[in-house]
Amino acid sequence: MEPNESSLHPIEILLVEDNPGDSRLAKEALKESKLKNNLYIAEDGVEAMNFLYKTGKYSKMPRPDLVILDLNLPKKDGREVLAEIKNDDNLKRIPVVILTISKAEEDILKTYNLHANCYVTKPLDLDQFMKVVKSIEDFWLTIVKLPNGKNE
Amino acid sequence: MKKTVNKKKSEHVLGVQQSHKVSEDRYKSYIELTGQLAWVTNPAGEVVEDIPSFRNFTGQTYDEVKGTGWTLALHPDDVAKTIEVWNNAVSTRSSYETEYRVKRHDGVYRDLLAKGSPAFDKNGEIMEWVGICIDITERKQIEESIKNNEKRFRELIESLPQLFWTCRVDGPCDYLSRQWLEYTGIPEEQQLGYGWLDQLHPRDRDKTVAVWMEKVKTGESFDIEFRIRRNDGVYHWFKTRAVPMHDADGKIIKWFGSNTDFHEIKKAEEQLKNFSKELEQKVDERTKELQISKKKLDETSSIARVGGWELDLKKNEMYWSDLVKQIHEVDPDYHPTLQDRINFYVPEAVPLISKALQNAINDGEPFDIELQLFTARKNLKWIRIVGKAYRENDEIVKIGGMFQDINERKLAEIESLRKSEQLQLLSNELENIIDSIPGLVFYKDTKNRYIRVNKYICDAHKMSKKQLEGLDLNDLYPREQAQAYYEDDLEVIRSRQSKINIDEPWGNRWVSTSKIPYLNETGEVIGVIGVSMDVTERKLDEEELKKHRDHLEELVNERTRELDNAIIGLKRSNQELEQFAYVASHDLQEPLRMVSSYTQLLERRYKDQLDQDAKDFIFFAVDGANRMQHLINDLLDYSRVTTRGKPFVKLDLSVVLGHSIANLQKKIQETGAMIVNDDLPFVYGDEVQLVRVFQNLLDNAMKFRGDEPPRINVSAKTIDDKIQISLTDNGIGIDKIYSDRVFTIFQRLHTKVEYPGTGIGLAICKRTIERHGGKIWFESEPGKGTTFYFTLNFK
Repeated sequence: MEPNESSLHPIEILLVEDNPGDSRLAKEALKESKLKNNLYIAEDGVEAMNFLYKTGKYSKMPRPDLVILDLNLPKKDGREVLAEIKNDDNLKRIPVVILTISKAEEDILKTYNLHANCYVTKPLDLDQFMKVVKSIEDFWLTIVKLPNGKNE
Repeated sequence: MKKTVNKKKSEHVLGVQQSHKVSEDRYKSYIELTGQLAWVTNPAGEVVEDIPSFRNFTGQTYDEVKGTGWTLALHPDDVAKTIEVWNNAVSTRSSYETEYRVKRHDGVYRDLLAKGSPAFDKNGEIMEWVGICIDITERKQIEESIKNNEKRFRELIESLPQLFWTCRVDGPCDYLSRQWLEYTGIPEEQQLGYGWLDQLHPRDRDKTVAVWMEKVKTGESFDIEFRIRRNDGVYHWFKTRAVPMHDADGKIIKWFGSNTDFHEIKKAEEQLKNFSKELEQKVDERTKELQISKKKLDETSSIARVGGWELDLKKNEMYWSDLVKQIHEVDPDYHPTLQDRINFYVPEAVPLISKALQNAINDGEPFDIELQLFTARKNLKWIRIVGKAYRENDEIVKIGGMFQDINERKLAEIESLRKSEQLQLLSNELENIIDSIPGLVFYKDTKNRYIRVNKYICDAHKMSKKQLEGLDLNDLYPREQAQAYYEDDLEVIRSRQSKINIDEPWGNRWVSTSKIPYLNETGEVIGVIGVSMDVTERKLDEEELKKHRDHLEELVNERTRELDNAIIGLKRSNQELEQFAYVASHDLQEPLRMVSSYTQLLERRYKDQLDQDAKDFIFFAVDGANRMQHLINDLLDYSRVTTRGKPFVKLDLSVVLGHSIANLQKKIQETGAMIVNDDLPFVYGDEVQLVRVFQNLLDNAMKFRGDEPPRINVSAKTIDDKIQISLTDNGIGIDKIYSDRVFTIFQRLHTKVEYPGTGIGLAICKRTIERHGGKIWFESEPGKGTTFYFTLNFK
């Protein structure tokens, strides 16, 4: 895989979200996106880490290019997942977008301390949600030049 | 039969017998005259001859008496004894004596003493028994009563506290009472005779023996005092009285004595003796002093202006000594006459002196009178004239005596009398005043005794002044009270300082007492003077008040406790509520977002297939969900004011206001609002929260604007230790009746259509200001505008 051809390949996105309504909504939004993507969904923090470490049934899963992470998760909470990713040398370069309904300042600060790459509040309005997805798109395509782990 | 034989047997004896008979009869009659019964029996003891005296005594007939019939008159109990004695006498042929009871003719048993002797014939044979019976009933009774008396007497003696004894005529003791033995603790045998003398005090022994021996000789009763040693070695004084006991002839047969313990009396007497000795000494001393002063007086008689006078009755001449003349202020060669008295004496004195002289002349009566006279120089003077009659051969020849100028003394006396009268008057007045005081006024000595009391005290105790004065307060009041009074007295006496207004109990009342030291003329403290006023009412009020206060305090404490508990409970429930609100607002968002998002997705995907109705429905669903989200967010904010607040720091309020205005920039532009502010001070607070407060208030002011563009003035001033901030707008105003409601969460005054909003802004403001220790309120005039005020701390 060539680094410059990344746009040609579908983006591998891991959405960690326990609420099927939200994950479906994200899926629907991404459907409307011009960006080619493969969306994988983990319903809790433990599953997310298994996906990332490719353990068990996830052994054949690709390394995601982007992780969209909800903070409030069952089993293992989003903050822990984020901390584990950022403390793992193999995973720490994967951009993580935090998606949550919490506006709480302390959450924001804590998240940034854990080196989340982006923080997005879940909007109520569908249009806004679309905009968020769009901004992730933009984020992916234009703002952030993702280092390709495989190429290093 | 025997009788006849006997008669026949001795013919020649008959004559003798005849003469015998005469003498015998006479004898018998003599005996019978003495009241005795004579009797004769045969040798066997049988009555063979009539015994009229016995028969008469017993009332029996001769036939009844005959033989041994006489024994039937004996008391049944005495028969056996009598027969035994009789048999014994017959067998021993000797005389006998016995006593028995015989029933007299009147049925009364009498005691008889029977004496019998055998009469022998020439051959030594018993011829007959002769004897007498003597009625000894009276004697026996006397003996009995003597015995009883003696017994009673002894009992009496033994029951008295005195010690008794009897002594023989010549001195030795032959009886000591039980008391004596007990008192001395020495056995009787050691004390009888003269042994008792050992129990006397050694110093009293010789004297007692001497008196004893002497008195025994004279045979007169006597008293003597001596000390007797008690069983524990202590000597007590006894007064001993010895009385001789005489027999019928007046001969002394015994001494009877009693010793009375008068230890205490003796002791008192000794004290009295010492005391009188002292007294005698004092009298001696005084007498000496008197003599000395008398001598001095004599020496100074001229100074005392004492002269002499004499009236010679024979010569009818009056003699005056020089001093008398001086006193009269007449020339030394003045010759007084009897008449002079009238010239000199004041009119009321004339009869007195005349009478005194007359009595002296007539009856020799001495006189000593004090009178007033006018001297030759017409000076009024008090004099004393003492006169006495002199006799020659029982005839009064001369009257003479002393004449003294006592003017000075008399004037002084009168003056002092006048003064003492004044004093009395004053004292009466004082007494009246004291008595009229409606409280206790008292004088006390240094020993807690009343010296003087006023009427109030008398009335309180229902006692007279006389009864109270001199009374120890211990006898009048409960011990503790009396002691407490006395302690105050002593404090005043010792310190010589007054004690003012001591509240103390007085019986069952309360008094306020002031005491001052009571001084005598020499400035010595001799007690206290006190005044006590009854303050029971005041005291009761105080107590009532105190009780009331205590009760209130207790109530307040109780309420405080209840409040504390309520606060703790409230805090807990508040925290729980906040926790709930936080969690709820979080979790409520999720489904809400689903409703809203999917409704919108529906519209987005199937826009072309939906008609206008469907689109309207979707709009309302989305709008509802949106508003609900606002509500939830506001609720979250509200709950976070206290749970997620930051520590207070020093803030520049102008900067805080600046942030708020910046946040509202869009609305300010839309409404054309003008916000004017004074220089705002520094305060302590949470910046984020205070920005929110200004923001909410400014937002409201713009939202509820009137027709004019909003004008908002923000100013601040310091009131006491607070900063008071005010925001005045020109909006629609708020009716006063909503002053509480506007600050309550979710309370709205207007419809959502008129003025959109969740109705939580002011509630958040109130909660925030309260967290900052301040208050928030408003003043408003509907249609003209509203001013919101809130306070903050600058320290």
